[in-house]
Amino acid sequence: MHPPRRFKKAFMAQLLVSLRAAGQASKSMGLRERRDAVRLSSDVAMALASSSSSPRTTAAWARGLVVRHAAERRNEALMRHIMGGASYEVAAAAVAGTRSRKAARCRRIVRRSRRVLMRTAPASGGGAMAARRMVKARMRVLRTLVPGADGLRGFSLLSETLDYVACLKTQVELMQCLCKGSRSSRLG
Amino acid sequence: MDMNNESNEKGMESNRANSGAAGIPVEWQSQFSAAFPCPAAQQQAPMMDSFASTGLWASTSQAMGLSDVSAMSAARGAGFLAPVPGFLPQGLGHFPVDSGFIERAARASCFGGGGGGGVMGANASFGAADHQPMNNAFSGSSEALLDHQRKDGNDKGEPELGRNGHDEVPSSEAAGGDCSSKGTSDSKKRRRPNEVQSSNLPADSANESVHSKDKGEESSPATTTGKSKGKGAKDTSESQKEEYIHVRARRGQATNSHSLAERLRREKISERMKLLQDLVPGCSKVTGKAVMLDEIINYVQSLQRQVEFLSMKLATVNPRLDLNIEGLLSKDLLRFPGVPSSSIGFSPDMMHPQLQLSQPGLMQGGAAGMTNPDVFRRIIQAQLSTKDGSQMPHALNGSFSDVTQMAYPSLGSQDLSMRPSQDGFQM
Repeated sequence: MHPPRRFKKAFMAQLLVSLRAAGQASKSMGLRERRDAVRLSSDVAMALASSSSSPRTTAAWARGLVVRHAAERRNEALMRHIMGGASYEVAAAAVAGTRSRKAARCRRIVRRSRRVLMRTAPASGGGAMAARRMVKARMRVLRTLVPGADGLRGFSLLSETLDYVACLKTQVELMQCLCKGSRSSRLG
Repeated sequence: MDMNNESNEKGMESNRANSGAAGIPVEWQSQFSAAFPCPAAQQQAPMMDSFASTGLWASTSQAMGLSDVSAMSAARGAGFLAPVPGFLPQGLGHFPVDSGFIERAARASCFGGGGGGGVMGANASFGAADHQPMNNAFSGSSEALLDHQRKDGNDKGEPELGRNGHDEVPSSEAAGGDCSSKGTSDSKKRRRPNEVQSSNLPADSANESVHSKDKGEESSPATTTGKSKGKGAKDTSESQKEEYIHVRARRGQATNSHSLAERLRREKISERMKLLQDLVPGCSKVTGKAVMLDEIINYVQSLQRQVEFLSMKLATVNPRLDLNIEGLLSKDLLRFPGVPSSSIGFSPDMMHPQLQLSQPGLMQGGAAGMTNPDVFRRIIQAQLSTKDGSQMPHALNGSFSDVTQMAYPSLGSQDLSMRPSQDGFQM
């Protein structure tokens, strides 16, 4: 119930299209390259579907995902083919932006200084402090996992995670469908 | 069912976490093999499921049904009690202990402000501090229940009927809060009553509505803070949306602006955690942020690994990545409402919701099995032909609207003939 049918349809359509594009682009590739191409196309499809079916707000993870892929040079041709030049330019700009972003850098500095402080004066306020530290550590891990969620904290991070989890689930399902379908079509 | 409704207000109904009774969670167990349409099919009656399936609310709504007919109408206006009987739950009596509270609270709230004092006294005995977290959750959810009902029955901007000082009754009587908080939630200003109503239908907005209702619940004219529990001071002036959220301080809590804001923030976060709990399987028993975050992290990692594995599998299955789209479409029918020869071999009971979903009236409902692949094929071809990439999203939207027009003519007779008996299960 969580992902609406429209999203799934959009995703599926997009996925098929991008897979076909990937197939056209890579006639003869090694297995690994093909796998990467498949993953790339499915991720891009997911991002595009999510942004098309929810025109109001583009999820941060969608942009982050695309940017992550755009960072690799060899994906450029395929991505350009799938998304179109304009979107790719946007993604490339975002990639350049992530290199040096002021907010991220400031936050890192603050975090480092706080860590130093913590180390010098570890005043443990009992279990509460330990729990909070665990939570913070896990949030940090989550930030590395979810793409494009680097600058988020707390509440927005959880929202992004929610989005991302739902989309991942959809992606897994769709890919399973494709697998089964193509397998049965090959055997049959 | 806008996915984006979710993006800010996403999530299953938080109620699902408690819906041990209903069969809905079963789908979540078999999430990787189950089709989404199964849960999607349930979305039609999110209200019913989400509120009736939790035993606690079931009993309260039943109690409300009992007491309603008699006296509440006098105090509240019969209009928004009409939907209540419709919510008579399926799972009853899960919490017999609370029924006593319910009766008392119902009676108290029925009699208006006078009963408030008595109920207050009862509340005090429960030690608000102990039950604070639970009460918050329950009051939030019970108010969500009421808001939902009210949303069905009323139009927005409802003036405050009999706002008695029962603001804090829900805070300690989880069940009883249901009845009395009806009055309170009347007075509380909903932040986005319009959106809440309109967004009820789409799937995700069930979560969205819960979320915004939660926001609305704590937003109330911040006229009186902690101490005016017993008083019925209300302002009818601000029954419309506000610029910012007013939070009513609960009994026994500090009323600084800082702590209010922080409490609001914390409640938002806990709301999110609840939604996440529903999304991630196996998280219903786990409490506490740290452990749940752990589960979420594991889940995300496993999903990502699965994606990678599947992509590898896809790459091996068709070595040239040339998906035979036509062939695929004829077989790839897990998600689509049409039922083909089940060559994929999914369990037939999963197909039924899909069958029933194909009632005309929904764009996404799609067509009968025969026409569906064609329709989809047309979408794909439209995309491929117009594809520049840059116009992809627009093409998608356009073609989907075409789908409806294309699908309906073919739907008409086929549907009627093929599904004479299936009805009612609207999305």
